[in-house]
Amino acid sequence: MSALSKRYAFVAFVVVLVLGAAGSTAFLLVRAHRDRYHLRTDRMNEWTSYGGVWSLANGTFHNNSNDRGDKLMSGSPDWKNLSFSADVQMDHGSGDAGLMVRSNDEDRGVDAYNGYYAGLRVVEGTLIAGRSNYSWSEVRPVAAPGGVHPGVWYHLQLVMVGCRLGVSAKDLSSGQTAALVLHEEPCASHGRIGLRSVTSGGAWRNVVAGPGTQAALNAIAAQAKGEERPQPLTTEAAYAMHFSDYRPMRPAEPDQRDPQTRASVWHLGDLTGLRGEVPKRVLVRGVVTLTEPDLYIEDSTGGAMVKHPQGPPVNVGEGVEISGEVHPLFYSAQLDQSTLRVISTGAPAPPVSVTPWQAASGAYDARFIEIEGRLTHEPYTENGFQVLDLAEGGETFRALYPDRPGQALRSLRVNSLLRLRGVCVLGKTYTQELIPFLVFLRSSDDAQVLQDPPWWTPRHMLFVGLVLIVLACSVQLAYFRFRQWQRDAIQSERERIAHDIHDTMAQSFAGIGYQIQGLRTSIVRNAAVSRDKIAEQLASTSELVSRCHANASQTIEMLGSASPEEGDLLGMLAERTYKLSGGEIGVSREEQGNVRPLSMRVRSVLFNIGQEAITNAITHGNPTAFTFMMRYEKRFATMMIVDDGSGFDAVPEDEGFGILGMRHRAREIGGTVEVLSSPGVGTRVGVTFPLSRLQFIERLPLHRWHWLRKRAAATPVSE
Amino acid sequence: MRFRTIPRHLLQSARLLAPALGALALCGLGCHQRKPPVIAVIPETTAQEVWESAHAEAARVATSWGWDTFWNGPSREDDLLGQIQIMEKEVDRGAAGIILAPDHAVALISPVREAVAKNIPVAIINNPLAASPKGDVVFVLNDDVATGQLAAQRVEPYLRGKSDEVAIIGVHPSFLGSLAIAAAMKAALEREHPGVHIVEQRAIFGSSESEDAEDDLVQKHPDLRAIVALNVTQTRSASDALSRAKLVGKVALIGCEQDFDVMYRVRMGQMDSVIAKDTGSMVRNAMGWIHRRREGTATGETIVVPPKLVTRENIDSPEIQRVLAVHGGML
Repeated sequence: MSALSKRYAFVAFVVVLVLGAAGSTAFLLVRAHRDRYHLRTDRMNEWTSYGGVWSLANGTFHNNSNDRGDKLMSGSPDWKNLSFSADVQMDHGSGDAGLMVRSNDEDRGVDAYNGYYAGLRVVEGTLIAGRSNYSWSEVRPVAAPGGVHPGVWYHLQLVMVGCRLGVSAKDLSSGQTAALVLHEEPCASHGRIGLRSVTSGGAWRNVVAGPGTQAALNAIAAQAKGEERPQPLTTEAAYAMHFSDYRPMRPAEPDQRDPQTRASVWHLGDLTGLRGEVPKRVLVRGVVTLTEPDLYIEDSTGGAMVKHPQGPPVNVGEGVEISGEVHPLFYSAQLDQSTLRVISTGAPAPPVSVTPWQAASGAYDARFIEIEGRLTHEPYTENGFQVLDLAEGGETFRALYPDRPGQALRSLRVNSLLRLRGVCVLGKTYTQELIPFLVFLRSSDDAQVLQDPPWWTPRHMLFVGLVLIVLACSVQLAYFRFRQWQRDAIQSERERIAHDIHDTMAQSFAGIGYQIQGLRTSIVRNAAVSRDKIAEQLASTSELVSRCHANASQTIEMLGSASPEEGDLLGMLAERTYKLSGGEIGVSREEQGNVRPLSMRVRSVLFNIGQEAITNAITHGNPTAFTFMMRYEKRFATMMIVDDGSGFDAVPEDEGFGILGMRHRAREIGGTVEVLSSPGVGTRVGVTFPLSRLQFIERLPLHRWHWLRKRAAATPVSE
Repeated sequence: MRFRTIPRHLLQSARLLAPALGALALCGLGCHQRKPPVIAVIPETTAQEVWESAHAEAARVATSWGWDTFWNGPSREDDLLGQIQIMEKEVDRGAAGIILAPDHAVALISPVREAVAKNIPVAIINNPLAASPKGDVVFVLNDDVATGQLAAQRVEPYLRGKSDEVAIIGVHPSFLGSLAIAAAMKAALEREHPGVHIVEQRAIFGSSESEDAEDDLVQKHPDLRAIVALNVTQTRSASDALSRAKLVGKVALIGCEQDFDVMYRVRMGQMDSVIAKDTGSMVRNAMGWIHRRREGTATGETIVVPPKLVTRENIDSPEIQRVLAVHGGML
């Protein structure tokens, strides 16, 4: 491929690259704009929870925890003016649940976020809204017509534009609405969206985010009674006034329970002692620690599994009273045919931190525990559960999590050290007597990565090995290519020398041979050849011999000179001139433009062309001075050799082998040769060639710096 | 003769680059200096308003100094791991000082030592750690002896002089203050009323178990004259248990931690009184000590803050409302 076509190919490649990059950027921008408020409601991966037991099923988010201030966050921290809406349902007769906008700095904790929250509060039956900056301030709550009831769906919409937040709530069963507007200056300017509940589990469906418009905000403001700035409840007296119809969360109702029944409440830890007796109905109380696949409760003495209880759905953290038939197990108990009622709400007790050995001992069967282990295999799905195989301290165990669409455990890598929170189970129904115990996780956040696997995993080692092999092959290939190029260069130079010898000495020797042969023939045939004729022929032969000798000397000189691939090119040409002329010809050299380094191949070709030009000039032109010049343009460079010899009539049709050889060499590097000469005015030979496309690498400062230092230390130039 | 002056453009680049880098470095330094110090306030729990007073006072004092505060704590008093994690996070973040209301007298010693090792002054408020304050650590504690004595005084009118039983609920070895209150109250009662039988119940932070425990307490002790509750959860449970047993007004209920909900019960006459902790003053003292410590003019010490007795009669007084306020004491 010629240099020109290579250049065009390169330009075409760059154009395609630029167009591709521009197209990709435009596509991403368009998609980013289109998906600006896109929320994934089919999988939990793009949501982050802070507290709670969150799950997702059929586009509906659930929080099965009554903890204080559970949050599930998503969206972009850059979202500003937006509309965020969802249908919200609470499943407990206390607390509140709702939506968050412009939230930042979230953490576990009741008010541990910086942003806005609006929701529905059950006890007061109000729509509330406020701002938290790790401390809660709220506007005056607005009574929701008909109150707020657990189990009822409410459509909640938040529209935030500038520093005004409009909130509307609609009872989807009755159609009644309530609205308020919060106005705060200055305000939180941007942030994520989220779902939140306080001391109540709940469900959120049809979760949608979109751009917030002034029109939508005005529509809500039209239903609201003015605007308010959120205020903290500053004094106890203000609080008492605020809740003028306040009722304690657990009204002081008279105890309806039968004293006999009360007296027979069993501690969960004592139920195993009933082993061997006929199934007995017992009354127990405890706090819910797990709701699926089975219901587990615990008190301070132990835990128990409750099979298919009759009663309302419960959340983790709720206190329950259960009457059921007890079936003692080895280390805990199971309650069948049970009825359940909720007796209190609250945050779940923190887990007991145990070692795998302690868990395997059975002392923590059916208890909420925290345990650490190293993941031994890739997570997999089995019998409707996502399964984690773990090992630690010589014990192997499993963690199970219900496998539902969109509810995957976050990507976990083999050999990661995990901290798991869940209910410890030793029953063989799940362990299948293959492992001593397993842990039921409540949510995907119950598997926390403490330490990533070491980087020298077999996969990484294989990858590194492959990279090294590829690298070694590349180096080897480059070495072979270099050796090939070296051989080609040597071969090419041999051919050139052979060509030169053929064109000069061989031709001269042939002439000498013909002349001697002619003399011999004349003498042998005893032809009448005059002595003068013989002397003339011998003189001619002698001249040819002298020329051959001169050519041979030049060739020897050329082959013995320093390598053109190193050192100063113009300096070497000047030195060459000095040697050929015995120091009688003046030399000057000059470089113009932004000097750049040349490849070895280019330097070799230029040196040979220059040498040819010098030889020709000295042989035929009798010059007294040479000028060697190198001019660097942006993409091309030109080397010129100018002499003040006798010159000749430069006609392209009459070019000899020397000039043709120069053109041939110049084409090797994508260059051209221009010879300008006229009788009496000297000769100028110019070689124009393209600079390498990889020059930009060579222009890197470090490379440049070394090269410049070398140049600066070079021999001074004579003007 | 001349030598090529090759690196000229590099020198030009360097001339442009050096001031830019210098400006960047100065900006970075300046930005770093402009960031105000942050005091981390870590309460026993963020679920009770008793700690909101501390939060508000910390924010008020910090604002007056041009400092910032960080506020977060566990959702239950027994979530020890949660509190340790918050503490470690703040130590790693390089807080200018930490105010900690510890959830455990022993387990928090190591995190505090870790903070001190990084030259972060730590103020322990309300309950002491099981180690003496020194160097970078100060204790700003509730006057537990005064609390115990006040509780004994409030109990006295309910005693009948025969078969009297008084319960003190919420005692827990992890909270050394609770032991001190119990001891002071016992001593005061035994001194004046040696025949009184004291029933002690350990701390329970889950409402379900607490409800059960207080129902049992009320049922199993018919001679109960008074209940002194040391935490908000058990105060609520005891109030509900007395209400269910129709013993409100017959058995005195004295709380030792305030909460808007609990104070409302005092207003409604469902409780005798609350001996309120002045957490705002504790934090104000702690903030002042941290400020002085950063200036090198304070050493480890113990400061005691007296509690305030809150009854239905004085609850609206400015002094009491100041203690109960969550806005930094500015009425």
